Amino acid sequence: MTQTGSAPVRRLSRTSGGAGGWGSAQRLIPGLGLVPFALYVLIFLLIPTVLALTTGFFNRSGAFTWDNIAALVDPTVLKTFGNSLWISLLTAALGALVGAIVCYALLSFSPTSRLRASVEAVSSVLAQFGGVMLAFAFIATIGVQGLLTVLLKDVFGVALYPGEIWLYQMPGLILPYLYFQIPLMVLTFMPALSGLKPAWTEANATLGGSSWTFWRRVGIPVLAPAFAGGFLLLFANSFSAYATAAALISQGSQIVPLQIRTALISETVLGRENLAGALALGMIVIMIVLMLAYSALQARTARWQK
Amino acid sequence: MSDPTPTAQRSGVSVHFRAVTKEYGAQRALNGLDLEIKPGEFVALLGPSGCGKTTALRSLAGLESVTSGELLIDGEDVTRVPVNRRDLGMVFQSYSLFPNLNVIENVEFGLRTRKVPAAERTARAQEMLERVGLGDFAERYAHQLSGGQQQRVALARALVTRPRVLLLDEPLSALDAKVRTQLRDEIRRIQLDLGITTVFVTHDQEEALAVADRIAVMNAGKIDQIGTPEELYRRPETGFVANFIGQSTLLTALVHEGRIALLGREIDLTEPLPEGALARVRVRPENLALESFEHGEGEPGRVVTSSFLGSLRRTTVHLDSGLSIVVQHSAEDTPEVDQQVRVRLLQDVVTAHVD
Ligand SMILES: Nc1ncnc2c1ncn2[C@@H]1O[C@H](COP(=O)(O)OP(=O)(O)OP(=O)(O)O)[C@@H](O)[C@H]1O
Ligand SMILES: [Mg+2]
Repeated sequence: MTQTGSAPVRRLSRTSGGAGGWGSAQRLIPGLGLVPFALYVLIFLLIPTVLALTTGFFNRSGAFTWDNIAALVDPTVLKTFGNSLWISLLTAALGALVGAIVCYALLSFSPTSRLRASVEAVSSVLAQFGGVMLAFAFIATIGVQGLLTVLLKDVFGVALYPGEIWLYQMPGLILPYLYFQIPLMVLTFMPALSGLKPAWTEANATLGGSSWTFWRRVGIPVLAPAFAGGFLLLFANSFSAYATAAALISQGSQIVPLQIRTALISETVLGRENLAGALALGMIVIMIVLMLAYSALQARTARWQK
Repeated sequence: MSDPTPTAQRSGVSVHFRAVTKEYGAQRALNGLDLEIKPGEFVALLGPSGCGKTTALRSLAGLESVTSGELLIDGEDVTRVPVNRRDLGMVFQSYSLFPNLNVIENVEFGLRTRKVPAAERTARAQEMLERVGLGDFAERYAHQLSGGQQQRVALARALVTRPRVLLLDEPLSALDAKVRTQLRDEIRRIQLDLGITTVFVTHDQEEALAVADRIAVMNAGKIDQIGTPEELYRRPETGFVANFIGQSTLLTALVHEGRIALLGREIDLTEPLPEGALARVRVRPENLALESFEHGEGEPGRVVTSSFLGSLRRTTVHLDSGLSIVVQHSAEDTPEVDQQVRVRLLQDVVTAHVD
């Protein structure tokens, strides 16, 4: 009522304002605020993507070549992709699962409770706590001479590193990655989980359903898109993580971002910048595949989502 | 109406609240609530906000555990029976349809948990949807329905399992006035049709008066009075009930020789009160008359507002004695604001209380 009532009034004041073109110009002004962001995306996302796509197909002298793409199926490169994939899938799956469980546990506290507020605050800090700082924190606590390592050995006689020093190799990435993956999941999943209405669980109960009935028929289907979205974000997050691994892994280039660095700056294998392009291209392809899978899932739930 | 449909009910069952108390920490939401509901009866729980209506209903449903007391359904003690085995249907105040299921899947939900075969399930759900007037909406999702339609589906979902008791917690409060009355009458029609015992929570007295067999007026965690709408309206037993049902004005007067003086008249009392006591009397707008200032009888005052209600009018008069009083009269009299008038009591005998 009020809407339809006020519309003509607004229209009247527009036209009385003068020139017709002014109306559309006025509508553009709020859009101007987006310009810095749009430029940023253009310079640091779109252009690099196009470059990655193109450099992958050209050699240094600018001639078209399949060589770089062919290099992708080189056993070492394949192994690197394999490493990147499993570490990302594993830490994304674990992070998503544990994060979701943490959210579920938090749900029993009121949104205004101090515990919930502080877990959410800590999560938003930890979710950004990747990189060299994080690597250092782990080296200082569970490194070879770390505080906890020494304590465990001296007090309990437990050796954290009976054989290989796994912290500085691929498996060593799992714990540090989870350290930012879980909080990131808590941040992204909490809003969806608190969106479950109490009236749904109560309706389920009065209709004779058990708590398992509720989760199977309502809770999980309703949360699936948000969970998958969170998983995807976590995957992308560790798939592209560089600094933590760079600081922790001492030898070799076990994951794709490290391999790209090697290809860009290596002095022993000169002139392989274009391999870096091909590697980046490989990463983009993997992300696109995942995004497609995600949007397929979204499409399935779109019919009941607003 | 009399042809036996697949949903034809067993006749309703009785419900008893026996000295039910519910505490939330130091807060007593229910304070020894006693209530007996007969089989097939439609009882409205009426009362102001915070008096414990929702708590009473949720306790009966099993969504809240009671601190002490007993709940009986059909003579069976269900106080410790979990929600999902109490076999009750409930409609909530907030919209509660499952968003990922369409209308018919929502209605079938309770039949699925009861392992009813698919063909029968769909037939019963469809039949119930038709009963609530949404036969053509089976494939829609909740977000494609209006609030009133969502509550109809919720009603169908609650009724399709043929529950022993139907519980309604202000199911109409989020709807606009026209849909409210329409759905309210429809709920009553379906309830009579199925003969299902129903507890309906509301804070709207007009709603309660319109649909209930009996109204239980709640105050501070217990029932103040229970009775038919007529009984409550004509013979309120407490000031609280009198105040809550219908509009009324509280007048006070000293008892003198068994009578009291009200609005310039000496009035008899239905029950004797001690000499010199301060009697409190509730007068309803329909027991008063508006008279001309120059020629009429009664206490003088000035018109504050007057509202047109179709065949009648209600006029608020500020009496010279300082009190404001609401008078109901024919719509043909159209008093003007600030006009001097007189207010006269039409009753010869009144029921008074002493506190
Ligand atoms: N979960 C709870 N924790 C603490 N106190 C509660 C809780 N639920 C209800 N109460 C209190 O119990 C009393 C009764 O609440 P209830 O919801 O039954 O009232 P109501 O009659 O349904 O009111 P309304 O008309 O506003 O819905 C209120 O004082 C309320 O504050
Ligand atoms: Mg309530």
